[in-house]
Amino acid sequence: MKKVNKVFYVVFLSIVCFSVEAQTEAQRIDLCVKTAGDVEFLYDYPTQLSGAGAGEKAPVFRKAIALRKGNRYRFTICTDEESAGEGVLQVYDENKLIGSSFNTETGAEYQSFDFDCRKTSIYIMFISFKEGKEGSAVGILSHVKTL
Amino acid sequence: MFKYAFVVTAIALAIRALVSCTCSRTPPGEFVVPDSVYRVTMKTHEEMLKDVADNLSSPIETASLFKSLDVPFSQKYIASTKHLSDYNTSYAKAFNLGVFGTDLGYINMYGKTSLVSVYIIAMKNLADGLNIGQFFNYATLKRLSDNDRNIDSLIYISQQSFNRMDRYLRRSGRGNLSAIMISGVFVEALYLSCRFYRETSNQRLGESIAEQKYLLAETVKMLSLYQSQKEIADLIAELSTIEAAFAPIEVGSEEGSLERIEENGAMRVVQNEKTVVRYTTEQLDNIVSEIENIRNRLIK
Repeated sequence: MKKVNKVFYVVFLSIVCFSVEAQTEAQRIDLCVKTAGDVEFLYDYPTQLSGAGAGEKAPVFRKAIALRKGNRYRFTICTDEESAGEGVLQVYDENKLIGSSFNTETGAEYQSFDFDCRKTSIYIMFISFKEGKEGSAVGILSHVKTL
Repeated sequence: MFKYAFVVTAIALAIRALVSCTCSRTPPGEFVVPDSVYRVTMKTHEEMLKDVADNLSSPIETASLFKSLDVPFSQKYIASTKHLSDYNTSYAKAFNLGVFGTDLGYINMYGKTSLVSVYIIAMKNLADGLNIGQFFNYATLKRLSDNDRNIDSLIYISQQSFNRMDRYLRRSGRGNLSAIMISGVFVEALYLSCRFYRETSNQRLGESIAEQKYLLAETVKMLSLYQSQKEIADLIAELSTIEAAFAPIEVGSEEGSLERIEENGAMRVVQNEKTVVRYTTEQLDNIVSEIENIRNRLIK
């Protein structure tokens, strides 16, 4: 009977932990959507990456995204409070950097940046963490307006 | 039992605290773009498509364009839900879920909340039929549709529900249904654009239709990953007819540099490289006719 109680408790605790985790992720997305401002939500990208070991490549989340000419889009990154690394969101057109939430030259950081798209194409969005540390963050793609 | 519970809880919390340990922040200047970023961007386009691009078909931009051009809302162009009971196959369910998704986006953007409940009931029905109804936030959408002031939340929850259904299909090995659903969104958005173009002959609307040539090709490429399935092969054949109508349209790009504008601490990137399309009125009329025929055939 005691053994049954133990098993029941462990299963119960696992379910509670999982539920809390899921709820927290949904809350983090909601908060980040609010941070994006008065825009139309398109996609969310909750990202959790492990840290890079010595001599290893830093893990990166990547996603292909279609963007249309004549639209202003907003990219937003919200690093989770408990994250070790600070999240950075970058958008590339093939190998050309279009925009980044972090300017390596000036050190300036932007929680959001807007992109006035004039070329309909598939762009690549990356989310990574500074210095290849482990971390968790939410990226948001939203539509600001028709240009 | 309580003593045991306390010990287990304490251990669980300690592990969680260790896992989520917050370490010192990195000074901004020390950030280096990981090499993997550059490595990954060297992937071929076809390899990237296997991940299926997000936003390949988005009703939000389409409806936003209609609104910016002051195109009035028109209920007669959106798909009727009266054929719902005829959608018996997974293919028909997924395609029409996409079609209704576009219509819901259009309805939401125009704030026509009285129509929302009809479409969310239909979408819930189709989503349940595909075993993805748990990702469609029907209860919240229903509640939000009762109040005209909830438009932003309606758009957010509708889009999020759609994304979650789509992601689950891909993750659960049903990428074929995701591809069909995305095609449904694409066809309906293009159809609405064509109907309003026919009504208004608006040049900006005409350009936006012509610019879809590129994304139509991407949609067909995505479907081609599953072309061994008869229903998808049939859908590709239908879309190929539209592709043929698009064929004479010239799509190119004009070179230009990027401008980075910082205003009040916010960054805006302006792209001066731009898509350029060349087409004639006859070519556009041909596309409009084809898309109308195909869309009406596919939703029956």
